[in-house]
Amino acid sequence: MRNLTILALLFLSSISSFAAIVRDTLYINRDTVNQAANLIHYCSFNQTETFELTNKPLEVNENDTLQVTIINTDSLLHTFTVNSIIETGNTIGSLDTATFQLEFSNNGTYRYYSDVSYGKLLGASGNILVGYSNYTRFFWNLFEAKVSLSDSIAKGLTSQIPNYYKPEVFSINNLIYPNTAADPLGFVTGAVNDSIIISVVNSGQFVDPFHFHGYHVTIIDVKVHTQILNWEKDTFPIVPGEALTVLLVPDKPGMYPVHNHNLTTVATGGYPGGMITRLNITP
Amino acid sequence: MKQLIMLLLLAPLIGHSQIKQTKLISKMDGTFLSEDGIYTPYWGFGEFDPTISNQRITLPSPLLIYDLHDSVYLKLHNLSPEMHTIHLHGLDVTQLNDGVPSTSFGLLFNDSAVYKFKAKHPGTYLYHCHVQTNLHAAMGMTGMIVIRNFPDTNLLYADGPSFNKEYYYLSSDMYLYWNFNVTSPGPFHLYEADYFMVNGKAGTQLFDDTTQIIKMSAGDTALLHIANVGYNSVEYIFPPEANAVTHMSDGRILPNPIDNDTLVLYPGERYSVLLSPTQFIQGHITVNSANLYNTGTIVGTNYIGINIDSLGQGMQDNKLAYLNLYPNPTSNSLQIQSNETLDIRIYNVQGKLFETFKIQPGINSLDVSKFTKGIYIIGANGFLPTKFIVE
Repeated sequence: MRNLTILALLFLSSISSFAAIVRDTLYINRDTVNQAANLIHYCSFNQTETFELTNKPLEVNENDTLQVTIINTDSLLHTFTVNSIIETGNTIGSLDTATFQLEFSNNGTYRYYSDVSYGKLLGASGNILVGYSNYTRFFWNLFEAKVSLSDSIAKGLTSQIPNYYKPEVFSINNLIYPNTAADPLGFVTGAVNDSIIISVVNSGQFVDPFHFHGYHVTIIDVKVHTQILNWEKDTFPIVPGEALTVLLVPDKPGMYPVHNHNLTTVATGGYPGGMITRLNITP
Repeated sequence: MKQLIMLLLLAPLIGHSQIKQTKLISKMDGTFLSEDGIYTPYWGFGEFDPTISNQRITLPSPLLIYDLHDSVYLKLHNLSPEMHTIHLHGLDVTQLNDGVPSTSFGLLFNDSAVYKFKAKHPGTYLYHCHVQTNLHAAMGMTGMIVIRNFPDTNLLYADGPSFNKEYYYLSSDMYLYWNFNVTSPGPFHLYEADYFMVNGKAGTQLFDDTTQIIKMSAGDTALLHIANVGYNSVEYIFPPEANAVTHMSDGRILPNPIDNDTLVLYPGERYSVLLSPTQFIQGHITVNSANLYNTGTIVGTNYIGINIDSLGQGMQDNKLAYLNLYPNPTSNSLQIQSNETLDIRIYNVQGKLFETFKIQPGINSLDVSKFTKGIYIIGANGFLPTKFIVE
């Protein structure tokens, strides 16, 4: 009987180790949104053809194949780019549909984005989290916007961020605090001793130094500023284009803020506002 | 009885634990003399002095040093008209002691309270007011906390590398417009740092202050506690001969020490760096301040003096020299004499890069007739920064 059980477990484990194909669909949508009395143009990868502020995070297990169908509702072409995974043959024409297959050999966070100026500069960029399916998972997509520049980009008048760049709106998942604290994707909840994974991408042009109140976290995966891999930190820079994963194992309960410590970013619509969210850890 | 014996056996393992009490006050009536001689308003914390009635604050706020395992009772008495708190940045305190008004508590005028925490990890930390943080921190309500590795206070951490000298450098910045217009500072995202400090001092105030200079002899190892509480990023450039190695950040040991002469600190970060020079140095650590909104452009520079007396030969064995400038003070032109081609950098008193140009061997004339009257610092690689005055 014991041998039969072991055989069954081996059989089940061999099934579960088969690489699967995970299918998802994203719509590229555009809209203009009033953010703290600032009109900002956005371009987002959404779950439906209805515009939503937050780019949809994608999740897949290590060694699985992610098959993504992109439906471009925009009047301009876009790309579906993931650095070092899919960088060519990845355009989607206006009102066109294309399907791409992506394979990831390592767990961690990857950033997908539209690699055209009006795509990436209007926020068409999101998280792909590979692995960690047994952990409690959250997603932060950092972005900032300047009203006049957003308008110029949307109208095709410019395709570059100027050297002197002072945005008004700073956001996580394109939400500004206190709305971030009501966002199930980004508002981190858990219990003492939980293993909590936070997948972070920086879709903006600023370096965002984030500070955790109450806890240190371990940076277990980082794609751009690789020096900080495996560092245990409470404050660390998240550079433009970054995709990283942090592990938080809370040692005590509490409600704490997490925020950008470049303090120009925490007063969108008044202080506290902008690039702030919270952790709520229960006993 | 059995339990008592167990407790006695375990007692040496539990470790030293002392109660350390500190009393701070908060006020909004400070003034400091900026490098260009202007009395500038600031806010801050000060150590409570029972012998005086008019309590004083300092820039930066007092350096607080505790030992590993200490139980710290940090009392704050707010003597200012606005609410203040103390956020113990990086010390991973309980929610009640976190200093964020919306999740813990704030102190109104004449209120006092005690923040409590246990010093669990040696390293470098910060404290600052977390009420309207973007304004209160910019106005000067910031300080450094250091946790020493007790009982081996000469070790960076348990079984870690040793040192025999210790220095503390807190980088910060101000947007002086806010200091002088604090009731209407304008849209907060427009903060633009224009005064750059290390330990509350800028330019020649820092470089000429003998208490800020790193003084070592051959065989010494110095621990530098470095922190950045400004809006800008700061870049510390160490002389290669200082053999700077970064061992810790944010009160934690790095997986691998970083052997690098350049260390960048983003707002809120802290590092522990060991200097183990093997030869004579008389020079400086360059501290560049770069804004985060303009692709990291360097907008200010400060210098921390470093003197390493090698082989007991004394400080007269200089290898670095001052640039040969005359006349100084000047009003029309400054003559710069050099034996080599040099890239010259001129900074204003706030440490802001003002002008760069190249000079050739011989006597070079710089037209300063259009310079605003005041103090400037001229520098070049291989030379000590030198002050000159335009009258």
